Amino acid sequence: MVIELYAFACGVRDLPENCGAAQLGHVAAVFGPAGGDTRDDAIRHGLVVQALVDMCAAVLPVRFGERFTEVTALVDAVTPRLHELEDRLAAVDGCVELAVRIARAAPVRSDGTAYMQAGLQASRAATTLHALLQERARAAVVAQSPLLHDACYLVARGDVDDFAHRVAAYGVEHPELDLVCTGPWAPASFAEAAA
Amino acid sequence: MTRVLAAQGEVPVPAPAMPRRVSVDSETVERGLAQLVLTLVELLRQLMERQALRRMDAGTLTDDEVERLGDTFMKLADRMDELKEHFRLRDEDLNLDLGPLGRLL
Repeated sequence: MVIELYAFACGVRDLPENCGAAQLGHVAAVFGPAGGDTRDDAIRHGLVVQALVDMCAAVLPVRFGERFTEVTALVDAVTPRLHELEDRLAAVDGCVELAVRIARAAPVRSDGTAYMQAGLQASRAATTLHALLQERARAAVVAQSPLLHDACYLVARGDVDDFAHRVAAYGVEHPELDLVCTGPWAPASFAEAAA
Repeated sequence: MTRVLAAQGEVPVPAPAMPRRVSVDSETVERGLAQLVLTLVELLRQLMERQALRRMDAGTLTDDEVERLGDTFMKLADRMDELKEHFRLRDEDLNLDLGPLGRLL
């Protein structure tokens, strides 16, 4: 039976329905029956990974479409990378990913100087917020984006509420910014090497 | 399944990938080409505005230059809004999926 790899995990307390796990040292490779390549299949993959966040101490999501003909083929592929995966799982252990996106609020269009000053003020405010959030995160990944700021933060589970409150409070202090904070997500932005 | 923890105002969601082929259907070809052209214009507008803000931050622009640049960017933004409305395009439509290189904007 062809299987699909969902994620690597450690500290597994439970598994989503129809999933199994190949235990390799401290690393569990979580898999399930392979589906198709449709959008719904990709969404299902994401939902399984997201469910694992609440079932495991640490999760490294694997991109959609990593399939193996059988469990032994999965084990053979993963075994040479075991130490790397253990290190990466240790890096995200006890953490989740939070996303923060910031855009410039509807700009002032009274005159050219005001427009530019408002843009500069918003840009500086976004930079300051990023610095504040970095202090509350274990790591951060900033994306290239047309937005003022588009980043993901690796945050300890116990600090999620504090992090979100900080973002909300900063928004109140800075009406020149539109912002949104989403999560907690599986730390996909910090799992490139596991893909 | 987005879980919003904090929000203020309206922040655009990540842009969906633009279709990799421009439709040659007679009813949509004009819109498809407009989408492509406006995406490139938007890229240039953003690059110019960011560079202008960097120079303003560094203090290398005079007051007159700041006023003229700001006025130009305002007019360009207004014109872009008109064109987007004309071609029924949203902000998130003005993007290109460059495959493994990610998105243009």
